[in-house]
Amino acid sequence: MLEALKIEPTHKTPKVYLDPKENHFEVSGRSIPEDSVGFYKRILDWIDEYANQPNPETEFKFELEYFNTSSSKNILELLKKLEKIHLEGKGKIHITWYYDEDDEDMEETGEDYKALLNVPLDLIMKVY
Amino acid sequence: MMIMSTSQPTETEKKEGPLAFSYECYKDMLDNNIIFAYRGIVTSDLVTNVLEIMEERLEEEGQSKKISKKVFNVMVECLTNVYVDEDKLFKEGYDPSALLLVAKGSNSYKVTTGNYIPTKGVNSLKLMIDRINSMDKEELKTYYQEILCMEEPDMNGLTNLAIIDLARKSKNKLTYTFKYENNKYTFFTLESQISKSGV
Repeated sequence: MLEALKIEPTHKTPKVYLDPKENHFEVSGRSIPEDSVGFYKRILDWIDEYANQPNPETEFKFELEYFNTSSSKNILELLKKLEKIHLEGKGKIHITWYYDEDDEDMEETGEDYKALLNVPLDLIMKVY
Repeated sequence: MMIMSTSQPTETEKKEGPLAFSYECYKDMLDNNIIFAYRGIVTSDLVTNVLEIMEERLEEEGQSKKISKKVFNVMVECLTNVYVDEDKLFKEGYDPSALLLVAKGSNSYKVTTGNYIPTKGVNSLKLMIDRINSMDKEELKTYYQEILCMEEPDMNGLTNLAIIDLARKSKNKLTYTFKYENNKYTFFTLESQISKSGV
């Protein structure tokens, strides 16, 4: 089984926790790196590896606080790779996009991704 | 605060530098309702620090979380997209820093960035902003999704996607100025307005 990819969060990059053994897949926190292409490359490469032998069911959670448009393009790349796994029948993918009740921009972004992708994606509002 | 004024300038008033313009600067900021101002190099560390200061500031003012979040989202986008080719600007004798102003009006917050951009890119940028300003909410949404799928991920620069994003998040028309310096560089300011009503 593919080794987990775990990246600790910083004040400008998200927590990344991708562990097939625990069936835990999460990207959360802030995503405003200076070099978003460089930051996401490692994650996208890992997903390419994972696509070779994915779990039968993958629950992928996004819970972002802030992110810039440069990150949004990389996140779309990531989501497209997950969509491919799903559409090719290699494994079932389910994505959950969490957003804060006060953050209509994050909700709107989730709606954009949902409209662009052909993979189950649920938007969940976090209420405090 | 009391300001002393006499017909004859004192020794202190004759001085040059910050001491000479600090009061004018303070008054200008007050008159224009500037609640935050920064001039310097923009890094992601700076973005984080600015967010912390502004979070505290808006909380103190009792601003709703929904509007505060919108101001932060617009600020993040503005700051992370300010064009800064520091080394090149510096070598050519230009100030490589950017300007960030946040103003609080009676009905809205205004987030303004200013920075040098290559003059050759001015026309296309102007056309792009004008085009985005002519779109309604649904058109912006469709256009955003289209460009999101088309543009290759890149590191920085004010991309079309970022401009559409600012227009969508602020829900208001973007305003701008171009202050031509010469054939190489033009000072570009971009202002996003966030209504306090959230509409």
